[in-house]
Amino acid sequence: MSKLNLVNHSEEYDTEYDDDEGADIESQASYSTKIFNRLTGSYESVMGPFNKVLRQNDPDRINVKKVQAGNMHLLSAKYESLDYDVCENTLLIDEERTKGFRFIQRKDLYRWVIMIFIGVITALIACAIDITIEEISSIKYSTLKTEVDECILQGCLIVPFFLWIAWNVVPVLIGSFLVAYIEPVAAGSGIPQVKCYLNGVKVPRIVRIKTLIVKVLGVTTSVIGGLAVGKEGPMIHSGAVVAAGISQGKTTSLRKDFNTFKYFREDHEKRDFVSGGAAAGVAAAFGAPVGGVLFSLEEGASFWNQSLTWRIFFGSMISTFTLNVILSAYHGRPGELTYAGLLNFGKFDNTSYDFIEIPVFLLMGMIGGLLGALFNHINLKLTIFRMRHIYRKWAKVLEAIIVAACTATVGFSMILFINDCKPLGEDPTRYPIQMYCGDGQYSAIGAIWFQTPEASVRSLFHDPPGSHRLTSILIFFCLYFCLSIWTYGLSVSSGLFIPALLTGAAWGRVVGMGMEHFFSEASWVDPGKYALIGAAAQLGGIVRMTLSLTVILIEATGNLTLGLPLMITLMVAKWVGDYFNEGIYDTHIQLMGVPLLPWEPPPLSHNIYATEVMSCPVVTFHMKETVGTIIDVLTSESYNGFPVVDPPNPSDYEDGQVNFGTFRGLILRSQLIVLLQHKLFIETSESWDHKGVALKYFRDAYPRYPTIQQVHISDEERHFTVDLQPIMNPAPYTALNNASMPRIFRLFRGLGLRHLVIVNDNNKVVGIVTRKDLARYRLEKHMGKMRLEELTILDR
Amino acid sequence: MRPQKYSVSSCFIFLVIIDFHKFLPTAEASIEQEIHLDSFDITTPSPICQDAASLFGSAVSDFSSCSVRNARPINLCQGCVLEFLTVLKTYEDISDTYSADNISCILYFTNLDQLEVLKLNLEFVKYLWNRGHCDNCFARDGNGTITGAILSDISRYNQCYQLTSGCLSRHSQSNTTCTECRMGYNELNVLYSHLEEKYGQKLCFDVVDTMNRTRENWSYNFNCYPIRKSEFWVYFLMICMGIIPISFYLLALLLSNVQEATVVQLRRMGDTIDRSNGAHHIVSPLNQQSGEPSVELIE
Repeated sequence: MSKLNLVNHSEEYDTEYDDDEGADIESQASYSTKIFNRLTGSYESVMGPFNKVLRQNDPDRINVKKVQAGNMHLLSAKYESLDYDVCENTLLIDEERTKGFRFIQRKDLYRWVIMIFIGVITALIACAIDITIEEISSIKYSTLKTEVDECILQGCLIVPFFLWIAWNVVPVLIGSFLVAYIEPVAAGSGIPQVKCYLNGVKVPRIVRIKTLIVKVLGVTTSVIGGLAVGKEGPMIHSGAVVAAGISQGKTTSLRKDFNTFKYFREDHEKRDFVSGGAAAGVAAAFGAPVGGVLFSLEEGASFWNQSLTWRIFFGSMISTFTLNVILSAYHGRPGELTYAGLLNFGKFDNTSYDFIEIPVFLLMGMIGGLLGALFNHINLKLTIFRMRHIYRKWAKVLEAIIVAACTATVGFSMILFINDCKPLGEDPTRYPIQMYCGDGQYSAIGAIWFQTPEASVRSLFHDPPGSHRLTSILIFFCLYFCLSIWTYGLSVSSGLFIPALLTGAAWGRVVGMGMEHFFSEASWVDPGKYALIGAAAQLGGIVRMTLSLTVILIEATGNLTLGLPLMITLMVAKWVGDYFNEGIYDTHIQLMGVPLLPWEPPPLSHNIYATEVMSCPVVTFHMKETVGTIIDVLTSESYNGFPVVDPPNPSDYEDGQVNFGTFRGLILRSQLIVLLQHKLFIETSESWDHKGVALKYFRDAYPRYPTIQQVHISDEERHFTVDLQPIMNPAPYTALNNASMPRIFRLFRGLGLRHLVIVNDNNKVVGIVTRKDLARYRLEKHMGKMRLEELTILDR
Repeated sequence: MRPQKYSVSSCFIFLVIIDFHKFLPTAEASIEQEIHLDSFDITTPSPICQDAASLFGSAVSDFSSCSVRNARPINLCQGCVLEFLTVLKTYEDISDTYSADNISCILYFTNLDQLEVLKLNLEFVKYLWNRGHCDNCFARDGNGTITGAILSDISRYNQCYQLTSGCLSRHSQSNTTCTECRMGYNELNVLYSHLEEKYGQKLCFDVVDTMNRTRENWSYNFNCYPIRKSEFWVYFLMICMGIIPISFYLLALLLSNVQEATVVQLRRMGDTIDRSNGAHHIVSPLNQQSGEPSVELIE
């Protein structure tokens, strides 16, 4: 190997990164920086726009740049790409020769079978979550109700207050403990993570069964704990995990291999199933099969084909249907299929709308956009604060507990101080509390608080006009808005949909009351309808989804008539919100530093060429390489793709040209590791049949390959050689060194590449482009201004 | 034999029609209707049927006036149960009365026009009755049809209500109403909540209304509210809950170390050329300022 090749060229780090390995990676980075320092001498200019650049005093590491955590303009090196591109090596071609079309038919059939399983299991999980929450919440609120009713007479209100705090704190403690200590990736709604995965980024641990368990328990406990959260977002993540798990027929976490579906063990197939799982999750959460498919299409998959659409729709339908069957049986009406979706908005009776209302809907869209932008802004600041100052695990748990306790306090204070009494009627208030109201009345505020947020949304949609007082609902809106900002980003599994819908429904109802005041004669005035539009506007303003959200809401309300108003509102909300900042999910993705590729290459970037984007020098291997060299390179470098070359001609250097030899193919780190692990050396080839180097080894190791440190090679074996030719991808995608950035970007985005080798006119390797080289260029939009930003890449 | 057989089967069909045609006017039934129209004059009911119908009409009108009489305070169920039963009886009588041609009288009045006056009247009566969930006030006989007898738990409630409202009206002028009548009032509440548990939302409306009125009286006319006891500890806990988050975040701000990460140096072609040539500095313009906003695209 050439001496040049030892220099770091890429930023693809190993997947299995967690806190324990942090130190290793840091030393590695400083090591490579030192090499860089020795070779080039100068890099005074290489610093970003950060105010707080920290330089170490240690003279040995004087030039290591440090950047404070919690910044939007960073990319994290711990995120890698998925290998969406199928490696067409000799092994694959050999295997294909033995298979024939019967195999293809079977594989196609199994795709459908797997979709059925994905739908059914996702729905079962949804039912389990729903029924558990329902049962335990009903115990919680009936206990609290009895306690409040008794203590109002005896003057011991501190008891139910304390009990409420305890009922909130204990479940949240369990949930946030699980999330903080066992599986941090299960925090939040999981939609940003699923979005990244479907975009082609390998988010560590996102589709593991451990994540699923923590997610399910976490969301159940946080909803029972009365936080301002919903269970819909986590359902989408759960669906994705289920899909990834079932399609692989094995779980590495539980060390169980069912020896089925082995031919689906590659990133390409897995990602297709995951997009189906996410859709099934949406379908189960909202009873919206079409919305689920569109969600996958809009938020997720970068790579889409028609047959996949149909299959995903099938999975979503199965999921909705299964959920329906089980929940209607649970609610005592088996076979009636009336419970579509976890989130049941109920039926809207009066949904006619008048021409005069369209401007009102536009206005509500604007309000939703503004409030959504405000939500995102405050939440962004809060999240940055959390990243910088609340990073210890126990502190995260403590914060979640404090929020839970404060939620109870806010609820209790509102019930105590706002005397909004309504007569007990036929409206379905399950736990009416009297507080200081007269007999036969209940506290309207108590009714909103003494149920899960989801049920509160339903009552705001359907309570008859005059169910709430204007002031009480305004105060509720303000407090709940703040609570939901505070809650999102805690170390608990939590969805954002319900709190957004609830705040939106609250201010929408206020608008509805205003309309009632001004158009008291009109038949179309119905506060519930405005609550729905307000909820849509608020949610649209926060998450900035368009088509899928409209369809989800239409399906969840079972009402096509309101399609146009919903669409108008969501569109305006998105436009207004986008003027100020990005959607909450994109904001969190940026804070995580995920190299997400947007739909389009950055504009006006045709003058950026491959030579400027690519990494150079490149670490390369020869067709026949000694084991020792491979181990050394894999140990000292952190990249995942290595071009395989013929040795470069020494005369090339004299021309001032840089190249690393004639390009022959591309080999992945994982392939090399499997090769070494199974000791497939040329010298020992008598002991293993050449034909035995089947794809089986690679599929068995997928998706968690051992690290190079886990592969044991004796000193004697270091002198052996391996033949890379049958394993490498002999014809990966390449681009010429004068290709423009948009061209490379489209190749990456369209084909889901992980590495793109840059060659010169003579097919000699000059560089390699990875996802982060492209994602570094990000278009920023703010207040009508646009600019192209270059991001800094961090080691974690 | 043949004609006989025919008449038996046609008779059977006829019976079927009598039983079911009011529920499902199938195509078969309408054909039969036409046969009747051919054979009989169905448009003008025979006098005996007219009489039966007018009995039904007066029963409906009795019920209507009774319901209005008992609208406020609501006593629809217990006040008009006899009228309601009469309406049902007279309607059945129409079916059971046969004209000279041996045709059930009901055939003269139903399924002939869009208006369906008789049916609509019956439906109105039933609608009003069911809206008040009045069936749940009364005992049922062996067939499951309601009788005029009030259920025992309802009548117990009624007795208790009489006592309580008597007490309230006796003490209506004094300031001690709340203490004097609390016993009876509480008992009434207990009975009511038992009934509520038993029937849920379908509790007979008379009961619901009397309870609502009593409660309203109790709270508004006699001002028997629960007394606000000292809530010192509640406020204390609330203030604590206000202080805890603020101190948590302040402590987090003060006690945290700076979280930092190392910048990964990107390897670019310019550096390589730089190094291999020694002299030249062909550094790409973008690389020079990597990490900085490089291009201002649109102002």
